[in-house]
Order: sequence, then structure tokens, then C-alpha cells
Amino acid sequence: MEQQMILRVKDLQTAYYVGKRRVNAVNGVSFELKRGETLGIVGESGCGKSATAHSILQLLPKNGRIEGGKVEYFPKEGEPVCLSECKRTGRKMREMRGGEISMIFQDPLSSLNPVYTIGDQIIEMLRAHEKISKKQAAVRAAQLLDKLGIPDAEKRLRDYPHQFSGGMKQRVMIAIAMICNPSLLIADEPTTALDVTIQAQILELMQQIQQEYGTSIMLITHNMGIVAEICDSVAVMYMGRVVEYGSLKQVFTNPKHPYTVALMQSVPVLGMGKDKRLVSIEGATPDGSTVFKGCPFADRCTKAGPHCFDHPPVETEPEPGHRVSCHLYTEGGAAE
Amino acid sequence: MIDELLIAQSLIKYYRTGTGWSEKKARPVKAVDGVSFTLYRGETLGIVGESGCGKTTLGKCIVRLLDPDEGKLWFNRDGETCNILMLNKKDGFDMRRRIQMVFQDPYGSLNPRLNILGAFDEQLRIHGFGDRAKRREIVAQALERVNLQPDYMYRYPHEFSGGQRQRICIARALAMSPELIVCDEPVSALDVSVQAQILNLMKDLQKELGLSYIFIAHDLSVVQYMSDRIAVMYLGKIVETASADELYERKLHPYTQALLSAVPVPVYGAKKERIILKGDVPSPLAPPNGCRFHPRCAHCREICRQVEPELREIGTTGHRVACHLYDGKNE
Repeated sequence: MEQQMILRVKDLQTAYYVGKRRVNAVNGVSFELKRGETLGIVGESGCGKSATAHSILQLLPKNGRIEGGKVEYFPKEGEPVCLSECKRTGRKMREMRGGEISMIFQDPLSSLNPVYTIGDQIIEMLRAHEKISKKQAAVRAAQLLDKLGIPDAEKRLRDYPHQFSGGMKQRVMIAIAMICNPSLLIADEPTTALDVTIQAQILELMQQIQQEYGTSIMLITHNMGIVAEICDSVAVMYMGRVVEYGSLKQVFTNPKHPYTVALMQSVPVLGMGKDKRLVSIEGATPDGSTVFKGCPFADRCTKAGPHCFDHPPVETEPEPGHRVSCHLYTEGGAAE
Repeated sequence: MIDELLIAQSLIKYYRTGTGWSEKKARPVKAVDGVSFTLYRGETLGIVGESGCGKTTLGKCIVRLLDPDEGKLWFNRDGETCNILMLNKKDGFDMRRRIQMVFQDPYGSLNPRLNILGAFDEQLRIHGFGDRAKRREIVAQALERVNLQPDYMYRYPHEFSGGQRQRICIARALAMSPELIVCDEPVSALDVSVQAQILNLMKDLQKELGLSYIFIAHDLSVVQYMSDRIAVMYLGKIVETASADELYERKLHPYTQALLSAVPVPVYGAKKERIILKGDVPSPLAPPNGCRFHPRCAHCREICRQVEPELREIGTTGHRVACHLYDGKNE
């Protein structure tokens, strides 16, 4: 049986306006996420990973605008919802946010309100989406916190964010995201601010949640290791575009795009020894407002031919389910 | 012949907190609590640990941005060994040239109002590196060493990307022709593709100039790639030290084992046994009695709660570990 789709993003385009400049943060991004699966979105800072997530939930700042494309969400029952057509402050959008699709942010420290107890913050979320009394909501909140590994959950509901450690705060964030039992969880760099041992705890917890509730996860990260450990499929982004997309196995055992290859060779891996040399990518990531005539990676790519600078690459599918945007894989493309 | 460049002997640095009259408030934060190590010339010593384990404090003590409360730092100065914490003013000044530091945040460590030449010039002038033309030449050389164009010296920090700024910070350290560079998380603020450039550059410079590094980072894979020897810190103490390969293949301390197993590996199908530690790092205000790791350790025994283990050598390869599990084994 074909697995049910939960989210389909098609040719999404988002731009920020800074003064008179226009920054194309997301430039034609397409991907699908199946129910119960984990999709990893990797890329360096400024490549549009977070902008994609914010576009899906319409959480863009005032100077950001979705300029094209379609985001479709398929609920368990009923009609698919076209998120990109909803009004950003509309009722439908508010129902979706938190209720069906939740988000955890990178920095647990600044995502929690310091003047409310964490109990208040979890209960607020629950009561925004369900008709439930405060008392009952508090019980539900305590149960969830307990499940997420916070000892003495009932008492700690009355504590303020500053009384929690970084890892604990991230658990609280996950609790706020999970309290309404959403079908899709968007995690934007959930462990970047945490130590490795705490990171391992949080990743384990997210996998546990997925098994228990069947939640789909969209994980945004810059760490290839995290992707390899918990994702089912991967989208590699560069300058607002998905340059490579496929299952974990396809992308990791047979990377096609020169950027993906370079990205994997540029990080040291435990046990690789001291004598092996890292392959570095020349230059730096270009500015977001740069407009490219050809492939955005061309001037840092070792395999770029003259064709790459003049013509934008077309997405091809060298094997089923594995898509690449690179002239190397189009016929008559990158002749040396 | 391998010779020792720097020997630290039970360094201690406490931060006093609060000025309260009650005993509770006057408790110090034991940031570095009796750390000893040896650094050989031309070698890289990696120091890893989670946030709050005292690795940055240790780095600052070595360059003497902070003065340790107790302990000794023996530096091999042109063949004679001296304790750099006890030097007179003139010799201490000279030490500042020999030991340089590269900081974590390349955005915060360059003055935005000075151009690159200005940022380099002050230290060169104070340390008497010659007249203006000579100093300019030194700056140009240093910039070339890190693969930047010499005429960049007239630009201001905001004109550079993060990777370039970190190169400038490394060049600034190099301009003083130091013997030891303490690098405090030099790549953690950078993107992965730029990170590799900086790491390769630092390795090349070491080979070329025979520098020694103390490389402080929280990313184990980076430390392992850079270092000859690694010291693992936990709550102000070194719990294990060994050569980089040895530490990877034969990790002894339960904390090192957990730390290594927690690092995600970017290889498909590399499912491995992950050791998940319970809880958080305890507050350094009140570290646990006995072994500081015992509340989170899976192998905790009665003795661990009471007696603090000492760093002891296991085997003959210089592998040292502070854990009661290895008591009486092959002293």
C-alpha cells in the first residue's frame, strides 16, 4: 500500500524585502513528506532552511512574502488544505498552527516567555485548540511532561523557564509542541544550542515520540550526522534551492550533486584519523540578494563547466525518487 | 627529540560569586579544579568537554587573561624552564608574545573601528617589532600566510565574511611569531564548508612553522581530527587523556564512552549503540562528592560516591584515566 502523504511543497518561492533590496530566501523548493516519516533538510546558514519552514506555517516576518508555489497539507480525515492560500492571520491558519502542525525552535531560551510559568505556556496552547478546563489541562500537561522525562512534573508546572536547564527547556518546548497531538512536527535546529550528550537525549526523545504517536517530523539541521541518524529522506539546500533530494540511503551512499559530496567530505568524522585531509569548499556562501544566471554553486564547484555559469540547471531524476539539480546529469550539460 | 613546551601542574581557578554574607552565597564556582597536563613542542593538545566544564577558563589561564588561584605553569623558554605565573614584569611581557590566542567569535574579536592594519599594529608596536614600514611588512606576510591578499590590511572587519575574519584572527596571532597558540572553539561559529578551510589552514601552518596548539572545542570529531593528544574535561577536572587514536579505540572512562557514542556519524547505516546519559551536568557551584561523574554514571559503585579518583596511568602508552573502575589495574 502506498504510504499516505502528509505535506507537499511545490515550487515554493519566498522573498524578504530589505530596504530596496529583494532577497530570494526560498527559490522554488519542492518536496513531499509521508505520514510517519522524518524528512531532513540540511544546508549551511542562509540557505533558506528556516525560511522554508516559516513559509509553511506562514510565520514570516512582515517584510517576508510568499511569492509563488503551493503548500498542501493532507489531514488524517477530510479535504487537503492549501496552506499557502490561507490568510496568515485567518482562522484556518490558526487552527493548523499548533493543532495539526507544530514547531520547535532552535533556541529554547528565547522561545519561552520568561514571565509565565511553563505550566501556563503549555496550558495556553492546549486551551487554544481544545475546549478543556484549566484543571484538566494541567493534568494533561503534567502527564506529558512526565512522559518527556521531566521529574516531578506536577510541581515543575509552576516553575519559570529560568529554573530549567537548556535540555529541560527543550523538553518543555517539545511538550508545548506535542500537547495537541499534531500530525506534523517541524523542528528547526532543535539541538544546535545543546551539548552532545543532551542532544543525544533529545534526539532519542523525538524518535520515541514518533514511534508512539506516529508524528511526521521535518527536521531542519546543518549537521549531516543527525540526518544520518534519524531521517528517512533528505533534502539538501543551497541558496534557496533544493539541490538534491532523495531517501537517506540514496543521498548518503550515492550523493550526486557536487555540493552534497563536498559537504560530506568537509566534516571530520570520528575515527577518520589525523592524516586524512578534509576537502574544503572554496570561497564563502554568496549573499542572499545575489541573482544567478546559471547554477548558484558554479563558482565554488570543482566540476563546473562554462555551461554551468550561463544556464540554470534543470532537475533530473537519475534514479527513482532521487532528484538532483545539476548540469552533470542533464544530457549535453556540463561538457568540460 | 621531543621536548616539553608547557607543563601545567594542578591549576586551580575558582570564580567567587556574589558578595553575600551567608556561606551559601560565598560559594565559589570551581571552574578549573586541579588540572595537570604536558604539551610537547609541535604538538596539538585537544581539550574537549561540554559547556561549563571549564575548558575556556583553562585556556584563558594559559594565556594569562586570567590568573590561576593556584598551580604552576612551566614554560620551556629557549631551553630554560620557568613558571610563567611567577615571572617579573619584563619576562611576563615577553611571554605574552610567545603565547597567543584565537577566540571563538570572529565577529566579536576584531575592533570594528580599526582597519586590519590597526588591529595588528598595536601589538606589534608595543612589542617593538620595528618601525612602521617593517611592521607593515610583517602584517602583509601574516596575511599571505593565511591565504589573504596583503592589501586587505586597509579594509575594515565588516568587509569580511566569517571565515575570512577567523583567518585574520589567526594571522594576528601569527604576526607575533608565537610558539604556542591557544585556540578556543575556533570553528564553532563557522559554517561547515568554511570550517574545513580553517582546520586545513591551521594544520598546514603547524607543519610549516612548527607551532604548538592547544585546541579547545566541544565538537569531538573536530578535536579528534586536529589533535595528537586529547584531554577530556568534566566539571573542572580532566577525566581522561590519551593520544587521539588511542582515545577513539580504547576509551576507558564511562563519560568519554558516552560522549563519543553521542556524536552523530554522517554515514548511512552507522547505527551504533548510543549511551544516553541521564540528567544534566551538575552545577559547578556544588560538584558532587567523590567522583564528579557518579550521579550520571552507569557503573557507579559505593567508592565512587565517597572517594575522588585520581588521574592514573593505564598501560604504557601514556593513557591516563580518573576512574575507580580501573583501580589496581596495571599501575
